[in-house]
Amino acid sequence: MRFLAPYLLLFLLVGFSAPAENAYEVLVSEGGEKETYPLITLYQQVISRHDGPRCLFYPTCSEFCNQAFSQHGVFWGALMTLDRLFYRERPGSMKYYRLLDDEERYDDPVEHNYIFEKAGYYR
Amino acid sequence: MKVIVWILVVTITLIALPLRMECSDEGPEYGIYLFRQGKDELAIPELERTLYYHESAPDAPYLKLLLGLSYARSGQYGSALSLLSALVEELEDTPHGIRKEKLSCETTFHILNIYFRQKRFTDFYYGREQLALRCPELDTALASSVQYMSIAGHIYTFDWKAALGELEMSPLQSTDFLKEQIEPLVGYRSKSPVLGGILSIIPGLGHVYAGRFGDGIRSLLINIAFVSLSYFSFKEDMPALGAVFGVIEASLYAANIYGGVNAVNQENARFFIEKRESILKQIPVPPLDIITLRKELDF
Repeated sequence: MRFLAPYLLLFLLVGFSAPAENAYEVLVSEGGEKETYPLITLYQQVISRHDGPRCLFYPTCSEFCNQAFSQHGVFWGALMTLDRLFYRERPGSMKYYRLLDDEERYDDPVEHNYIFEKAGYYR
Repeated sequence: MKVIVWILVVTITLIALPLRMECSDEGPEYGIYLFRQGKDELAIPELERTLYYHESAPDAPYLKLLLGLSYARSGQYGSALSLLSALVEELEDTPHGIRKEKLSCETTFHILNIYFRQKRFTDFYYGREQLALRCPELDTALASSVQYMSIAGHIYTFDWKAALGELEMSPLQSTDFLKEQIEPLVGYRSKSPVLGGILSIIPGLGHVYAGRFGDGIRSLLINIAFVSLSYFSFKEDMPALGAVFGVIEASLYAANIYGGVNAVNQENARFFIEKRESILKQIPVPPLDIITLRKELDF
């Protein structure tokens, strides 16, 4: 079930969700710096709260998914999230990433994962 | 009665005497002392106060330099830059003597130092040309520091060729250890992300090419598992389930190719960033402190 939870989330997300918008995001912050997807919020607040924090990276996988979708669209966002969840989210991968200052998680922001902008990898 | 009279006389005398018990605010010595001690939070108000009262004193430009450096050392780079730039312009307007030239050169040098610390390399390299024009006979300590900073700037921006060119042109002594480390990076052929993507047609091979064997094996196993699930679902007359597994496998396969390219890019970046860090650790950066004017400021 643990294995399926992020997976189901992702596919539901591709099919049915749309970024939440409100007047503040549209008018004041010009579209909003951060879009939030309702299903990711649901996952973060309901499933992840009970399941406990288990992501080895920072930003966490759900937050990474959120950022990838809002910055690079559904298609590339889904690929980036799948790549992280299925192929890299394991303790053996950690040696490739920088340990953050709190010494709990490893640094893997969205900018280090977008293959069409080389400069992002050197940030 | 006599005692009372004596006490009164002494008291009145003490009150009437023009004793000056407060600290003297005549000279800048205290501000310089605080700067020298590295107590910038105290040196800044002291130097500001001295400059306010003695703006046209002969030592005012030196104090401005100290104040600018104090600002910079306490992280107020903006204030430091505006003060030091104004000082350089002010020195240009005044008739030049040897002391003024020395002061102007050191001030320009510290402006460069601040640009360097702010990672404003375009401004830094432009300022370096200005410094070369303004001070053709620059002090050796300042000149070598500028050289080191410009090399470090090229390395920071991954411009290995420019860094090596700078090293070869520079008169710096004993920089062979830097050359040895930079030379292999100039023509270094990074792994190709395109090849990583092509290799990922066989799941996991792109990750292996990038050097991530664990990720590659994981990728291969996951793909084999979903292909098998889909295949056996169709074989056992469950086409709906087979289609679901097929769709999942298709997306995982696409993500595997994406991951192959991503892994190669990440490994390339990691290699260069690690090299950069190890080289930068060996390059000295001048302190935000007086270097050539110690004698003038009685350091």
